Amino acid sequence: MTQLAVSNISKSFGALRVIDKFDLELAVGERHAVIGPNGAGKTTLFNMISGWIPPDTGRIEVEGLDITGRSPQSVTQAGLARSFQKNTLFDGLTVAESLRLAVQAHSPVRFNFMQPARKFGGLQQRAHEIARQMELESVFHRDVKTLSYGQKRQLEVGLALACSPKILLLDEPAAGTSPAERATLVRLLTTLPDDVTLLLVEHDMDVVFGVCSRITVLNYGRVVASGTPDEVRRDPEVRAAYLGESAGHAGEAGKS
Amino acid sequence: MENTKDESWHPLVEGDESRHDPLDEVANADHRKFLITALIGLVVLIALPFMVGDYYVSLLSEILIFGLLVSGVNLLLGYTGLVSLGHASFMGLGAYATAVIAALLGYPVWIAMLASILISLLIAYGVGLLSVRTKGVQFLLITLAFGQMFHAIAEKTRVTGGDDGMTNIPRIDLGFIGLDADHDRVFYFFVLFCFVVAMAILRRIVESPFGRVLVGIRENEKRMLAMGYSTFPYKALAFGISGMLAGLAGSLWVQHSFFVNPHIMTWEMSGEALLMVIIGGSQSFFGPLLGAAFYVLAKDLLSEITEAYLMFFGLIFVLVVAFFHGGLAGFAGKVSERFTRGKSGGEERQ
Repeated sequence: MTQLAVSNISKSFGALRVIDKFDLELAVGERHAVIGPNGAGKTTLFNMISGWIPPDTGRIEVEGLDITGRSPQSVTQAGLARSFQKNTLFDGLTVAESLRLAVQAHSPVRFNFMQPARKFGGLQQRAHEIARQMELESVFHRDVKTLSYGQKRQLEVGLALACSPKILLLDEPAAGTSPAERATLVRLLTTLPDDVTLLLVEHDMDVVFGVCSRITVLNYGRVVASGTPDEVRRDPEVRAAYLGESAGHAGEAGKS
Repeated sequence: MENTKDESWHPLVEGDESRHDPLDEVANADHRKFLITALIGLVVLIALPFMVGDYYVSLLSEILIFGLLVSGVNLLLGYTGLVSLGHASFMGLGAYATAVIAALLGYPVWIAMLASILISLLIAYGVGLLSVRTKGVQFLLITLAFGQMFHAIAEKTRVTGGDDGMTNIPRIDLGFIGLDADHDRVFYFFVLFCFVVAMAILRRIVESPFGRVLVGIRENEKRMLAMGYSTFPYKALAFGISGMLAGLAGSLWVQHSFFVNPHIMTWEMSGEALLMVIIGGSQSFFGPLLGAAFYVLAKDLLSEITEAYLMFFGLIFVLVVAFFHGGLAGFAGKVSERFTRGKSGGEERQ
């Protein structure tokens, strides 16, 4: 069953065609990565799918529902939540408060303005569950600004996950992390619920090969290759365009 | 944006039966602290008028009235993160509405008060719909422009006395409980009553899921959108509520001083309201009230000594901002923490 269907979307900024007739179909529970060199159009693609930039042409569907041109909040309400490459967190709140806000966004109590929020224990329970899943339990009541960088990246994913999405879009979750922090992230991403469909943009090959079962390679806005990690790794065009000498290293990671 | 009736069925609120969710001990502890602070404050506010002279009772009324105004301003500034320079105009709106309905049209003052609250809510909500699409400097300038517009209308309107304003505005008739509000101590208790009711409602609002959304918008609106919140209606309603509190303050103000003129709608007044919030401490529920008390008392003291009281006030403002993180409330929080050696992060947040 198709969870996310992106067909024929294009985007130009002035004369520059950033995304050219892009197609993608994700099955329920699929773990899919989009990789490509800097400037390949990955972030633009993400922004289009998540509603931040309208595509010039084409169509985006979540479970058959057309979400093309909808606002980010409406796309999220349709079941597609995203994280950001650059930390976009609530620095002045605690981890608990942040996650609770994310959970509350998808509960009918979000419009309630006359009852104390602390009495809706369900919100707090769910927030705590997500914190446990993202290994943030020990810092649950800490201010977000006091977290380590790796923990902030975990919360970045956690906030998207707390929206109970059908499709999770992660924009370089491992950006700027240390090898140890990256290993934690890979472990957390591999234990995501099976029914959550994952679309990942990532530079780090350890993360891509460690988490995803299918990969699409993007270069200059076009799909260069698409398939299983092995197929992609063998593709000569991909080796030339992107993997370069890191191919051997990535191969080792893929086996583990 | 009504209270949804069907919320009990939803799986996410099932835990509702466990009224004292042990996981949310932080919020519960905050709430206990709030109740204790509020109770102490209320006892002080009830006892004070019996201990001071008439003049100071009148000042106390002023503090409470400004307290309502700045609590409204703080709902936007401290909670939602929007700096408005137009809130004096909503205070003026409430003031003129009461003056016109009670003094010109001759309706009972309580009807005038209810009408003032409703009018300021509706007009502030309308202004909110037009202004909260922007933020930062643009938002500030739009609210300033609206404020100036209302001020100009008040100055030019003949029936309300133009620049001179109106006098002989009646106070509420408390005859039904055998009291005369023209007596300043009685009127103080009426103001206190309105103040307590309004602050209790405001507290409910900021503690509700709606209030938490406002804080989220202050901290990171982009993330709120990404998590699925349509932030616009929240901001517009917050603007309306904050204007309503300003309107109530205005309605009490004309009764307190028996007169109204366009001066209370100037942008300087809006600016002074922002000063009160920041001196007292935004992001805290009681902070702005401390700011209002400090402002009224300091103005009273300093203006006895010098005409240039605003200069000294400005100096104090700079000192408070530079040295008291979180304003007077932040300072008080730190002191009480020192004494009680309580748990970490005792600063009252949200």
